Amino acid sequence: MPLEWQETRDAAPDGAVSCIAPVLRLHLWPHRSLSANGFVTFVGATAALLAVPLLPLIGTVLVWMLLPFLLGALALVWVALRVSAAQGRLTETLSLAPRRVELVRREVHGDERLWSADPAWVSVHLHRTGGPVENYLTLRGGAREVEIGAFLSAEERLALHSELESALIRIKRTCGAERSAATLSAL
Amino acid sequence: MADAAVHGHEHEDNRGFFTRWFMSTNHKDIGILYLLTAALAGFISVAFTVYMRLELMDPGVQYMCREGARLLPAAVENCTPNGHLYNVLITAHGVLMMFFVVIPALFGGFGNFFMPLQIGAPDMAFPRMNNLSYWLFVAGTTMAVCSVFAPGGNGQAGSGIGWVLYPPLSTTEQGFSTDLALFAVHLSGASSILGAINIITTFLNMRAPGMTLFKVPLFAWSIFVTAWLILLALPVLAGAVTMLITDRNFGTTFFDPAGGGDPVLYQHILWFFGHPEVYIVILPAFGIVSHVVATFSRKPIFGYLPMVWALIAIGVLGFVVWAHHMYTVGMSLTQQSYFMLATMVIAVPTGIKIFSWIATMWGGSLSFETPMLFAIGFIFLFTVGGVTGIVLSQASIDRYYHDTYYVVAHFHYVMSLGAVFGIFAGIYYWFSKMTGRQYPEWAGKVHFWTFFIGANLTFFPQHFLGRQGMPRRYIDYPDGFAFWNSVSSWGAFLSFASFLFFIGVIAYSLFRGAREARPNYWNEHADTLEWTLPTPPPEHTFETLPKRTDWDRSVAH
Repeated sequence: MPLEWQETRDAAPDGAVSCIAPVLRLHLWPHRSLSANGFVTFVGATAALLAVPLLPLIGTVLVWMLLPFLLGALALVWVALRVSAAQGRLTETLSLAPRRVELVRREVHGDERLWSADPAWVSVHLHRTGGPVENYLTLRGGAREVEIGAFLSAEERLALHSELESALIRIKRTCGAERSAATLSAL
Repeated sequence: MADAAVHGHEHEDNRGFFTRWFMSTNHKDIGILYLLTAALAGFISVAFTVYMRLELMDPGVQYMCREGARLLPAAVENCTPNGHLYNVLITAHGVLMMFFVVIPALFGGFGNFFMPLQIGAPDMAFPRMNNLSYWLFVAGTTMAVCSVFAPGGNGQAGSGIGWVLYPPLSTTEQGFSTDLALFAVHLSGASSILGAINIITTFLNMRAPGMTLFKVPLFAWSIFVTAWLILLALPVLAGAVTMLITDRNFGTTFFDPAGGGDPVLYQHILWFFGHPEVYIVILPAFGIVSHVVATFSRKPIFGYLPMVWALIAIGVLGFVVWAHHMYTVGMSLTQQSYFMLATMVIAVPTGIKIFSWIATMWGGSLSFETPMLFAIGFIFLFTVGGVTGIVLSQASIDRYYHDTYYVVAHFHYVMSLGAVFGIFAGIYYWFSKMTGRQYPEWAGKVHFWTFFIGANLTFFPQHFLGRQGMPRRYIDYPDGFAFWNSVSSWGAFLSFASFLFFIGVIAYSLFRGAREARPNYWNEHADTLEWTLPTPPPEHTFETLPKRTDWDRSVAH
């Protein structure tokens, strides 16, 4: 599944809460089936086989007439694979901390969109039908309702839904006592 | 985009006719365009062969006269043989078939349409480049056809230099017909390379999650290996053709011994492209046949993994055997021995494929719908062609068979009959999927039997002619060769009749065929992703990733 959970244990960012709270960070990206190693293997094998027709031509001027075409083909496939990988460079990062839930979406061309909310109000909603994709996932609780992981597959979103819910519960529960105290004192 | 959109927008296909078919970036539409254009080029190319077979039916020249080409036989004494016309027709037949019919149909047509569907990709990686590939192919086809009518050698139209474009023939042919042919090949090369890069990127980067390389359906695999061969072989051809163009027009002497060049080097470069080209033509047919055989045997394909490795092995071996096309140019014994052995090694992966198809059928619950008939026909004909290939691969025997009709029979069995039976198997297998209409089953069967008998009648006697010593590429022959030539011509007419019948069947089915709406109209062993889609598939498919359960049949692998 193209997602990754990270957990760090920091002191809560504001001094008001004294407990050591976990910060959960979820990293999501669209599926791309070619790995970095795969790219190297494929381009390497292509380069090696492209060199074979030069064998009978070694020592003749014909080498120089073939080389531009061979290198051109290699360059084209290189660029094409890179461009295609770049088109998948969309990411969504959700960080869950006791006082703040934050979703950052970085678009292919580098634009960032930010959404944040208080975990107390955040809820995860699964729309099995009716959304633009099957098992559409949205987050409520901030200024607007946002989607998450729309580029994943339907089963992946289903799995993500339960992961997100348990993560949210965990965040809401940790430092719960301190949190209530802090909230009370704020009142 | 990050804002939620709970009420999704419905997709509606509101493109006009011109936008849909002339500015298409949709892989399914481009696939259909490729198939139609290739069919048109194929018809022209086949018409040329029918005229050649008409000429070769009887000894003496009755049709291709200096006084004018005839449609009805002229008396031999009223007809001065026009060898140039005959040469032009064999050249055009070869160029069109190799570059503009079989590759575009199998690779451009079926590859574009079904490869992205089988791997669950929404479209090709670069849809607009896909459109560019198609129109380059159209431009190339147009130029190739134009070269037949443009002023050429011997003060007549067209160039009679053979599809291999060997210098000095190709560098000294007068007129600009040859230049048109060379540029046509260039355009076709550019089109194929762009198409190949598109397919490679799509295959490598856009497979559905969880679909690792060795879970990809065999047809998609065959298209990928083909794309890779194109990427490796076509740049070499582009270099060779560029040198021919400069030799012809700018006074360079790459292939002219008078200026220090070497025509044999051209043969090396050409066949370095030309041999992989043979596999480029046949591999997608392997892929189609694998699916058809599995579907109609109601069994998963036997030996999926060896089948994939055989495809890869055939592809790689195809690059190291090129000089078996040129045993007679004066290579050392060691070189000839190497090329001989390397060539015979190819029989191993090919054998793996043949035996795996047979093993798939073994104990299966076979039914003989039209696609299955064509697939079995393919296996039979390809095996016959493969066996004569082993004969020809031996340098010493090749001395006797070189440039005889035995060679013609061999490569038509593997490529013409092999690849074309693969194309027809694919057309009948996927026709309803592509169009939403059914073809009449009886008509498909009539087409198969007439074509199968006609094709064998055409090419099997050519083995005998080759063994009798009849050389290829001549307009006339001594009386001793008359009988089998006559048989071969009747076979060609029967094949042509079956082709006309096929065009009629397709036209009828397109406009009057029964509607077909079931996603999978064969059986549950047609289990790749295209069979989970509606029939015909909507404009946009797999905009969201497919479910793993839709394609992962672990039992099948």
